[in-house]
Amino acid sequence: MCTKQEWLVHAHLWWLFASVGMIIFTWLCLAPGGTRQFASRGVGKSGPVSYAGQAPGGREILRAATQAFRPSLEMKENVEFLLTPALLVQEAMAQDVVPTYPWE
Amino acid sequence: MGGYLRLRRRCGALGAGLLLLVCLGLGEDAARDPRADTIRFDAVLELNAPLLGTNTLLFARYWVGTDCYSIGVIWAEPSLTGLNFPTKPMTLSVHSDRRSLSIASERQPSLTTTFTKPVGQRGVFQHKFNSYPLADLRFGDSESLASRLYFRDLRDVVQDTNDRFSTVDIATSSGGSDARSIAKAVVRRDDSSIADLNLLDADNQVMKSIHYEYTTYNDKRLLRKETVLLPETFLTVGFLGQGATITINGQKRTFKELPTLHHEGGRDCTIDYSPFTMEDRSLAVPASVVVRKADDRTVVRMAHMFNFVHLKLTADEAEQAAQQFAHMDAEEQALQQLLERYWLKDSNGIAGEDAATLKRLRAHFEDVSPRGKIVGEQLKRLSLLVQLDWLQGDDAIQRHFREYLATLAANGLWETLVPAGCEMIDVTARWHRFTAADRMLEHWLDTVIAERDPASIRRYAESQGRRGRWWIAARLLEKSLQSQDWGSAKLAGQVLRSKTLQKLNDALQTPYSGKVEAAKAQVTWATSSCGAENVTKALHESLQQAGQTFSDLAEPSEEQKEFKSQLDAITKALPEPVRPRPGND
Repeated sequence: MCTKQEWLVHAHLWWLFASVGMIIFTWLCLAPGGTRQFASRGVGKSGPVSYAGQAPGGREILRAATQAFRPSLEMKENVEFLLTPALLVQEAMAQDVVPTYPWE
Repeated sequence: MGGYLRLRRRCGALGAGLLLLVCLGLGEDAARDPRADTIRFDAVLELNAPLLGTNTLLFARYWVGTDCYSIGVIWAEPSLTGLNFPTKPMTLSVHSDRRSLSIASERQPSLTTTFTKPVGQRGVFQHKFNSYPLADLRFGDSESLASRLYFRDLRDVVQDTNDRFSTVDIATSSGGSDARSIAKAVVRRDDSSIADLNLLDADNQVMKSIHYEYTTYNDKRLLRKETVLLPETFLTVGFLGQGATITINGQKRTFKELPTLHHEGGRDCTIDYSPFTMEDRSLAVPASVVVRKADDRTVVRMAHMFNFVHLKLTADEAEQAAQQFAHMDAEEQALQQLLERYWLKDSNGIAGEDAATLKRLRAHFEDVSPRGKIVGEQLKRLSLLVQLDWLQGDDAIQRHFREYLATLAANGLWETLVPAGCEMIDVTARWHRFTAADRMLEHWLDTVIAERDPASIRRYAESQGRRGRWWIAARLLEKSLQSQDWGSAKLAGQVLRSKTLQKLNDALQTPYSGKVEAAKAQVTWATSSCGAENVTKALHESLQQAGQTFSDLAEPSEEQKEFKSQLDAITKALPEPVRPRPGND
């Protein structure tokens, strides 16, 4: 038998776990296969994800919801490409750097 | 006397101390920023934006050392309108070293700024509708430097001679201020070099897959080619205000942040290297970079690098050289001011003093020899001469335009020749120089049709029609349909021409009240060039030709039937009684 205080603690913990579970489930519905990357990266960090095996509906929903950002992401790639020749030549000059191509 | 001697000794000691401090200071400065190996080179960057259908060229010079670089942008195309970049890139310079990243622009001084390193985190991506601040270059610089891989990271692979495949854990800190995102490297070696390299993040997701090819130069194995696959990535984007509301299974949910795709379709980057000798050291320097979408092979951007020279410079000297290279001289500044003052105004209204300045500027720019100049400098000179022709209403514009197109063609810049030439013709029409615009258009049409296939002409004409450039689009389609084999796409081309002429015809029949300046100029130009009645006649002919093409089809496809219904709609909208019959039904 639990005391009233212990029961309250258990109830609070149960609600906490249930809430966290719901949040994780929502993310899984929206971005199947991609959730772990978000959990492990900070805000604004990017990382590679293969779309193989993902539900097409989730991808299309995200695509439609974030459509306005796409031209700016295209612009980001092009603007940062201005640095690419310099970074590539730096890789070539440095004796200790493995050429790996900069990220745009 | 004793007091004087004591004072003299004290002054002497103080002076020696100061001298020592100055020497130490100078020594520290010299040690911090000595003249170091620097490679200077020129580059032409071609930036395509498939979503917006634009093509932008940047002409830049680079000064690169092992821990600093400076970039000066001397010119960009298209130079006046239709340039898809956060700012006019001419006069832009960027400098990065261990201490800071600086951006400077003479044309837009408000952009001039310096960020001390470390520059911090990028944060949630909140830029929409093609906006992107140039200041965010600092994050591109720091993220690229932080994600570098060093041979010391792979020392276990190098030492292990038994296994050709190795997996190496990478320290998340590279010794710099920014944490690295690379967690693991999977390496395949050939006899003496890395043949393949996969870089993985902490979740074992592939970040980059790289394949290396080598050549032998001066008995040394040098990199010849690098092929890099960047997979699609997720990037968090943030909504300002209330956020985005999404309905899933009938339930509405509002999100402040969402994941979106970056590098959609993946990116396939190919870097070709060429040998370069720096004192007694042979290096492989990048000669070209081509970045394609990995799924459909569309080229999204390219860079060609050339004129490599070895110098010894300090970081400050490199920064000054870049700013000097991008600098607008007094004549260019004077022309810029006059162009702004008299934009689209009649040359007869130019004040006497300004007219004299324009005459002097013409003599100056005509006298500049294009010999020994890089392509960006040549195009800059020709564009400035065309600007003078607009201001002065000079017929030399046709000669300068021909030289301009020839310079682009000679350097293989075909993707730019089409839009940049079109922009120049359009602006000429907006200055109401219709005779010159007609001749420029004829020359441009011949050049474009000789080089581009009907599919790309159709795409381009469609995009220009959307921008209100109906006369240019209709003439391009007319000439292409006459002289090129469109095959099964002939009906599509004819229908597109009919639609374009319909828009032009509608604008001619009722005074155009739209906001698009280019469209207003196109209407006036078409009237001046061939008369309103001939535009209507051309529309009727185009409808009849398209109708005939449809009638000749044995078994029209669904798409072709749709084209026919579009033709019928155009015909139905024509005023009575001039409505023609579009072929046999």
